[in-house]
Amino acid sequence: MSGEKVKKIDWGYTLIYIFAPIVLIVVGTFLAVKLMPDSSAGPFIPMVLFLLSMAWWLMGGRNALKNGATKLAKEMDAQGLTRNMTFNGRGCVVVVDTVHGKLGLVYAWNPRKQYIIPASRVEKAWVDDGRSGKGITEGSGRVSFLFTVDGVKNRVDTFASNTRFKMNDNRILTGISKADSMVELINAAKEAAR
Amino acid sequence: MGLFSKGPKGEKCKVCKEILEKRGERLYAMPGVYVGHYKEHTHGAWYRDNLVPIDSKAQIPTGIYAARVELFKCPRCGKEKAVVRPFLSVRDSEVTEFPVTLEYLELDAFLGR
Repeated sequence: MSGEKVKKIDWGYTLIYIFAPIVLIVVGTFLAVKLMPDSSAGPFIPMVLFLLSMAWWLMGGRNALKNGATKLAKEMDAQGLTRNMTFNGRGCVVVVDTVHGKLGLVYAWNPRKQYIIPASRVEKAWVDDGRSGKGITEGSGRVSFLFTVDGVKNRVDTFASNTRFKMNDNRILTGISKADSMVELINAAKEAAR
Repeated sequence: MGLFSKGPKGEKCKVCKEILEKRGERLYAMPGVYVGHYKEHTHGAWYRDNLVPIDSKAQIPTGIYAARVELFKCPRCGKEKAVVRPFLSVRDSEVTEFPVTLEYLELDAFLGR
């Protein structure tokens, strides 16, 4: 778990996550038409399958990441590690242990795999405040902290919006504060790992 | 005072409605309150147990809330109160939260007297 290379995407899971509901709708509709051509329930089957697919796409991934994060927390506790800070990002959950110098990672596109790695494998950690524009148009719609592990760049958003806000907006400042503290903790864990 | 003047601004005494005199300001860190987890507390006891006095903003750890506590005294009746102004220090800026006023008896608890 700690020695292997971090993999952000499990292509098998990703393809199943995206295409399995589509296959289910097509097959379910085909079977409904073939097996119940005269039944009044026939037209409802594709509709139900479509709604189930929507629910899967909207909530399935989030729940899978949540389950992965729970497993990671349990695994870290079992190993006697300290969970100083857990950041639940949309695409990745990061757990920092500044006592033992460890980092716990679970990715949204690879939620079945939990990584507990020495923080010394983090090459660089920094904050991107998403600042763009000049003068009165200066602002940001995304604040994140980034870190590279084994040459793989990880971006975790602390604030994301489709609207641009001024740099002194409370939402942007809160995002920056979260990102700053995560980078500080990752660097502290890196120091502890040495 | 002009026609549209609202008069002197400031904290007022609840008993005699006199403008309170500011007696001082102190800076405290809130070590257990992380960014994104701020919750307003209205009891003096909570502040007594959770605020740690600091000398300057530079001592506030990243992502930790702090508070400015302003102490007021009524020049007429001598009643005291404290206004806690919590904030999150972010680089050169601050995210401010709603101030909390601690009345009379709570002030004693807060100051640990």
